[in-house]
Amino acid sequence: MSKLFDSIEVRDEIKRFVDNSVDVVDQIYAILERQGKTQRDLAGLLDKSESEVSKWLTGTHNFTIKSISKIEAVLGEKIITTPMTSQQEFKLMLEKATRIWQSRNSLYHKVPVKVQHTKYLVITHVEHKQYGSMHVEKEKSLSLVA
Amino acid sequence: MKRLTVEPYKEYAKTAFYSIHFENVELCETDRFIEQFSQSEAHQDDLQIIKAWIEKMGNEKGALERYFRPERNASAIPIDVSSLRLYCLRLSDEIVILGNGGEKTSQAVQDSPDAYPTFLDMNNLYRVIKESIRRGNTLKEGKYLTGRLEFEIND
Repeated sequence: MSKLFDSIEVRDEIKRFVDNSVDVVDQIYAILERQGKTQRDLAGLLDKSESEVSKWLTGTHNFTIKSISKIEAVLGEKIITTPMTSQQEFKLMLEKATRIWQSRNSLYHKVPVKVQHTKYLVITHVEHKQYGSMHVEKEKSLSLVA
Repeated sequence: MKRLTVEPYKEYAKTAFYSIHFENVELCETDRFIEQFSQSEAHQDDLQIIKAWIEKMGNEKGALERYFRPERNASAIPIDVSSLRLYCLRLSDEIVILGNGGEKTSQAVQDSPDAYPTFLDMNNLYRVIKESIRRGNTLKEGKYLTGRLEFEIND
């Protein structure tokens, strides 16, 4: 095993650059696959050569916010999201699931919810206990299955 | 003709990387590449990107075809932010043979004196190793290459 290779110290910003670039590329490929499109289709939509788009999609391209936005626009889907946006979407999804659950007034439900093209199954469960004449809602739980 | 051995270089959970080692040369070709460019201040980030990319493929993604830029029958580990190229042969999602590389200073690799010889070596190796695999002399077993690992390629 190579000592020279091991001796290269990768700075945190470089590791994050490669991680982010590969994540963006994987997201673009996932959207293309879902939409039944190819790399060539994407090149056509962007009015770029296929070889240029191919170069972008190998995992070390320095995407700009502008170029990502353009790809999002032609594909009609988000490519990147921030943790804050994800948390907001997750909160909205839980609120929606809770509303459906409350309206059905039942102990156990599976509620399908779709966020950013990913389907989740929100499983809601309430455990009731009867203490004499008193009915206590003991535990509520919500769990998610992607 | 040049004689070389394909030898293990780095192994990760998803992918094993091999390198090529020419007869009577002290270092394997990938180490020669690192040794050459680690002397250059301008290429420090490039070497780090290469290492981070190899680790990302090896640990998380596997050597999926889409991450490799074809350069005739070989591939280049793409340093899209610079002209540096590290040539390699992707044999599967689990096996990659790394070679040497250089600066691609022209549109056509033939016009890049630094990169072209290493590009040729990997393309020549492609022919002999593919044939050896086809004949069953070299075997791909998951992350491991076994059987015949010594080859001769054109100068």
